Amino acid sequence: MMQTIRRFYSPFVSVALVANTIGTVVIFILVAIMNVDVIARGIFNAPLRGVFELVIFSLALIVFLQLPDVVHSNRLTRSDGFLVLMQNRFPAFGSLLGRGIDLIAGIFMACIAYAYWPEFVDSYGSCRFIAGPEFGAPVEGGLLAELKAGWTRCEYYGTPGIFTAPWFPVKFVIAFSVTLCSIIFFFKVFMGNHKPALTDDGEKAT
Amino acid sequence: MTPVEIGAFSVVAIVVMVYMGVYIPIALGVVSFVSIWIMRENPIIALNFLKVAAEKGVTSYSFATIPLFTVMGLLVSKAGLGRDIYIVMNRAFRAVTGGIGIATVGANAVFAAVTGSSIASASVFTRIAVPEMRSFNYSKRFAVGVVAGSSVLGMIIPPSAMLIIYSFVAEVSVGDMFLAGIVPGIILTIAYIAWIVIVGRLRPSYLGTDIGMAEDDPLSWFEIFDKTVPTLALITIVLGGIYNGWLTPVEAGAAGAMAALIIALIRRSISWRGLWETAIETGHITASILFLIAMASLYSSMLGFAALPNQLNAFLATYNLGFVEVMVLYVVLMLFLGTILDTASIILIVVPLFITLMETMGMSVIWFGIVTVIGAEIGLLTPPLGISCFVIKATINDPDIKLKDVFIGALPFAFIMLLVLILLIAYPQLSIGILN
Repeated sequence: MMQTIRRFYSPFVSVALVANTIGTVVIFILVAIMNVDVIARGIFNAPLRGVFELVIFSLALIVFLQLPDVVHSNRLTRSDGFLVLMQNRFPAFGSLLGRGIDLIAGIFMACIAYAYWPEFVDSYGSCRFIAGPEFGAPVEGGLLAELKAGWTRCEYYGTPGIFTAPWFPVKFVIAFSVTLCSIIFFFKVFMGNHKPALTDDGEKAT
Repeated sequence: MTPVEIGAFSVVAIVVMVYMGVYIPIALGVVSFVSIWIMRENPIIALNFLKVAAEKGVTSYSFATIPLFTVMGLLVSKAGLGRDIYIVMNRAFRAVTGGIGIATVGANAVFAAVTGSSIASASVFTRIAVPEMRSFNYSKRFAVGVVAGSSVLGMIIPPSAMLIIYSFVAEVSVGDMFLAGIVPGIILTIAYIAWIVIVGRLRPSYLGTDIGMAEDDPLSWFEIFDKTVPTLALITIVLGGIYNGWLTPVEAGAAGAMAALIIALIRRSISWRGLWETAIETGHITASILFLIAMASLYSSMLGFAALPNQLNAFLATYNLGFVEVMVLYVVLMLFLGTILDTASIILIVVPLFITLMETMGMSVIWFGIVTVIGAEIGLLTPPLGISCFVIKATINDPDIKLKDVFIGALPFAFIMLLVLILLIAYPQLSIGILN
């Protein structure tokens, strides 16, 4: 039984790991861009355009691409003194409590996902990639030109005239992330979630 | 139930859930969600609040300080800057009774200016300073206590994750908070050192019996240069950059992270693999802090919805409580919460409740932030949930030193923090004077 659950769980873990890796790369990009901007502005008096928006974008990617892995690796902030005490003294109750907490967390993340997916759908829909708007001159030049035109129609983030970028990728990442977190929490309900805890002997207890 | 009752009940519910072990952001989120649902008798509105809150954690430019300063802090720990400052300080204070203790405090204060986390300080200095103090016959309680006590400096002396979090809740500038943290951090450092010197004179047995000192050769000028210049350069870039207005706090974080990376690469103290692990660690810390902040913003809008801060205001007004009474109440509340919650959660739960009150009383919001951060930090040293003490216990790997010893050793330092806190409350100029 447990084996089967783990087999179903592993693809989700892989997805979380891939997302985590992308998020990690974004951190390096963020550091690099900010430094180029500081140097360009300080020495050459030529600030980069759109750094502000890029910072927000990269923050969104870092946080939401890494959140599922945070949940998977039990790193989400909690104060588990009482829980660990229960798991050590009354294993049955402690395990039940731990599963109950993960169930609540899973349901809550599912609520966010339910509320958030339409946000992404609307934002993506605002580009009208599939069917262009009825007003304005029709776009000439095939699929690529159509997509380009769509890209400029999207709901954007930034200051018009200086730097704007479509906002739907961020919305997608958030919706994807909270959904995956919810799924991971539900798996934890079934698999139990024993976190190795510190005992007074400084050894890892299970 | 009236909205105010629901609001008040929800605060209690959050504290209970967190104590039971519910993930802190989930506890904040679930309780706020349910409270809004009950108040409006409609889940749709609550779902809309959720939708807005999800984005809240990531759509603020100044949040980029969190990953950037985290990268910087992790890299400087890897590059061994903490050990270097400690060695130099240790030479400087060797002639004084309790010199290693003083060096630990001093090194922590300097190290705090390049890291934003007490946890980093606690784990670095447990490895360096505790074995050294033990080998020179310092008592185990003093040895771990001094490390625990001074690790708190990491979150008061900027850059500090807690000052960043406060600046979000209170909607003040991160740069201002950083500058306001400098003088209180120095005062606390001096208070710790003064205490060690006084105890060394009056009751040397508290420090240990027959405490000795190292007999090795003095450091050459090159060694001193090599061990201090990287840290001083980082402090100049980060704090100097912010203070002079050259850099925003976000840019200072990026420049500091890059400089720390260059130092680590020059010293060959980091491999590609180590760098990758550092980045993953950074991402995990960032994701958990910002998700916590996002859910705290939901909580704070729920409180506003229930009009709880205003009611608290009116409630305290009917009892004619003056400034002193309110502050006593506030500090006691934080000390109580400090025994069950971590620092970030205390700030996120308590500040939205009290900030309106402070503003109506005409107090500086920045000063209030320093008071809050130090007050909440005392909890790092007190049982049952003193995170700094746990980290030290986990790092030390010596069955002879029990968790109890760490807590008892840290107690005098927690008490000194409380005295400094009272001083800072009485003289707000100590915190905000630097801004003028």
